Amino acid sequence: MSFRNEYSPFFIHPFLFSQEKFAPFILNKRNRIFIAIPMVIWLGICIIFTQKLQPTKDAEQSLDPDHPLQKGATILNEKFPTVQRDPSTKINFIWGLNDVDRNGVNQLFRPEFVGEPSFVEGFEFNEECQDRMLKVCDTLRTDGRLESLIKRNDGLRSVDCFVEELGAYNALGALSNDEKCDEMKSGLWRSGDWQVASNDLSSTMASFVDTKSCYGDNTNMHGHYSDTMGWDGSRLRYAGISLESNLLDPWSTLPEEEVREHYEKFLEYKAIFDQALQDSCQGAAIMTDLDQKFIFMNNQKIYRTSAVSGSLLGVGIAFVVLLLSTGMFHIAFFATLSIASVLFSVLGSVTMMGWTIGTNEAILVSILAGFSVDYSLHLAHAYIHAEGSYAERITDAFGDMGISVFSGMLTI
Amino acid sequence: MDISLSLSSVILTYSTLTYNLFCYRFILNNFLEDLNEITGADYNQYVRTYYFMGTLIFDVIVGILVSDGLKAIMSFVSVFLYLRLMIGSWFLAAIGILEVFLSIPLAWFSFSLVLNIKYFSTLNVLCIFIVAAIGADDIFVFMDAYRQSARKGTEILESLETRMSWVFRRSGKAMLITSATTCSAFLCTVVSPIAGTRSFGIFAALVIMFDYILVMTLFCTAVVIYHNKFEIQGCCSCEKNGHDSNPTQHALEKAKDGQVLPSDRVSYFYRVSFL
Repeated sequence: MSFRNEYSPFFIHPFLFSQEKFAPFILNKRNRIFIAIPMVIWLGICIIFTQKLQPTKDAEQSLDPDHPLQKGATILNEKFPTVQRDPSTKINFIWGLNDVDRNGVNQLFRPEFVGEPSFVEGFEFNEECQDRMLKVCDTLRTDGRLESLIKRNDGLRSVDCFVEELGAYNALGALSNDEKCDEMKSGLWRSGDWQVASNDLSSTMASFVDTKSCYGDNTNMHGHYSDTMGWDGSRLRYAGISLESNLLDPWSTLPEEEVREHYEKFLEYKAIFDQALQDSCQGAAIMTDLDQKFIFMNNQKIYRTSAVSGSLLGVGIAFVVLLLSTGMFHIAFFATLSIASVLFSVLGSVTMMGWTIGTNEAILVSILAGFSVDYSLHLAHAYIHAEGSYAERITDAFGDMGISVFSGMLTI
Repeated sequence: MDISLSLSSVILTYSTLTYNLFCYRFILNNFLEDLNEITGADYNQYVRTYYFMGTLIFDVIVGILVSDGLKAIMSFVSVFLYLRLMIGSWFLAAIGILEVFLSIPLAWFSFSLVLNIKYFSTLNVLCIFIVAAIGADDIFVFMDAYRQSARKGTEILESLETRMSWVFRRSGKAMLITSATTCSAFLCTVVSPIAGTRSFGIFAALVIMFDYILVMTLFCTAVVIYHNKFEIQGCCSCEKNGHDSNPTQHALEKAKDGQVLPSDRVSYFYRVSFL
């Protein structure tokens, strides 16, 4: 008969047990300094490399980069220019809308509720607003500085201006055939009074929305300009312009830096357009896309910044918990230092391996502190509860918790 | 006229969909493996081949998810085997892995039905791997405290109650502190404006909390059963034969005789060799 407690039930590599001379080595102060030197050098290198950690510059991928399907997608996205038939993301400049009212939004409890649309009180699509909006359309179609931002379709920049067709409709009557459409596209009607008077807007819009668009494939105005024409059946709540981005498409998720550069260029133009239209259209424009590319761009930034703040917060929490549980500042300080060293070692190592920080990496970094806290806490706690001289307490702490920490490390 | 046109377009759409479905299923079943093979770098030294088909993405991702699911099972299996190796008991390893696994549905119950959180982020799936690692860590802390209790003197070994009381105090507090810290670190994500991150943080914190509760209740109970029924090796009818079958009593007698039970090898390494 025997009791399992009497025997070690597992096998550990003999290397661990051949270190009989290691004990006096560690207890020797000079040797500890000898060990500390490479550790400090290592940490120094890691800290330097951590500062070089960059946000990802490649498109975020859902499949392994070496997966055959992903390779095909990457080549299609990166090696071929965007062509007319490729779907692209539409960017909208809208007047008459405020930021979405997000009062009461809590997606944890109501994932489907993301806020209520908020309209500009007193928005009026008056003649001056129509006139200036058409000029903005011209700018978007002709300004040379916008060449790289807007996709071309049939040699022309893909800019959708419903005010153009509305003006032509008002000046020429229903755009019912190709001849009328050619006339509309020629722009000759602009020399006359094409603007719809505010008093006539509702009645004109009521018939206009059901007519066929010259730009759509047998779609009516309502269908073709559904994103930029806020006709609710009785009044026009908002109006705007949409264009096809030369960079963004609904499928790929590009690096934040690249999208932000694109976004900021459009923001510059939004500021210029606002100057021209703010008074006549009673408010500033909202510039956004409906494929959530700009939202994801912001999320990427949040992930990246929250990775840093989350891990620092984790270290801070660890320090407070250690201080409260041990009641000894120096133990809390050195254990926290150890946790911070783990963070720097991981971040430095991944940078040395050539990784950049994307969404997934950022999330993992933010939970890293939570993980690295455990071992230091176990050892610090065991040290505090051990008795005797400092060497005996260290011996007890390692003796009692060393096995748990070792096993925990192996399972993780 | 309109009705017949609509009907035609419906039939055409249906036919197109069926045709597309048939086509991609056919490619999936008959060509995908070959396509993957010819994209290999060493398939042809002169020509590199690539392919892309949007409709395949969903099936490929489902395949990857299934494979990741299997990895999660593998993770549990390897943790289970390692637990068995370290603890030395199939019974405790099985209960250990069960309590680790049970912390997920319990966390999900609290998350979805008690806290009434509806947003279940795909990130939450990561908690399976997190709890497999942290849960095993807690089991080791508890079991190591239990083992070490056999060498902590006669006062502690007076009875199973005094022994388990010591184990509870020693491991419970250490695990409480680490679990609370890990929970707090995860709960920090509630300040994030991204719902998915908040959902993950709350779910992970709940998983860690339930894992702690289960170690201190379910696993602790299992250790008592282990102590009473399985800890003795090679003694199926000890009581019948008048032998002492109580491991705590056995450890107490040895302690009274001044004998020290041997430590496990890793503890020995840290206590003696490492220092």
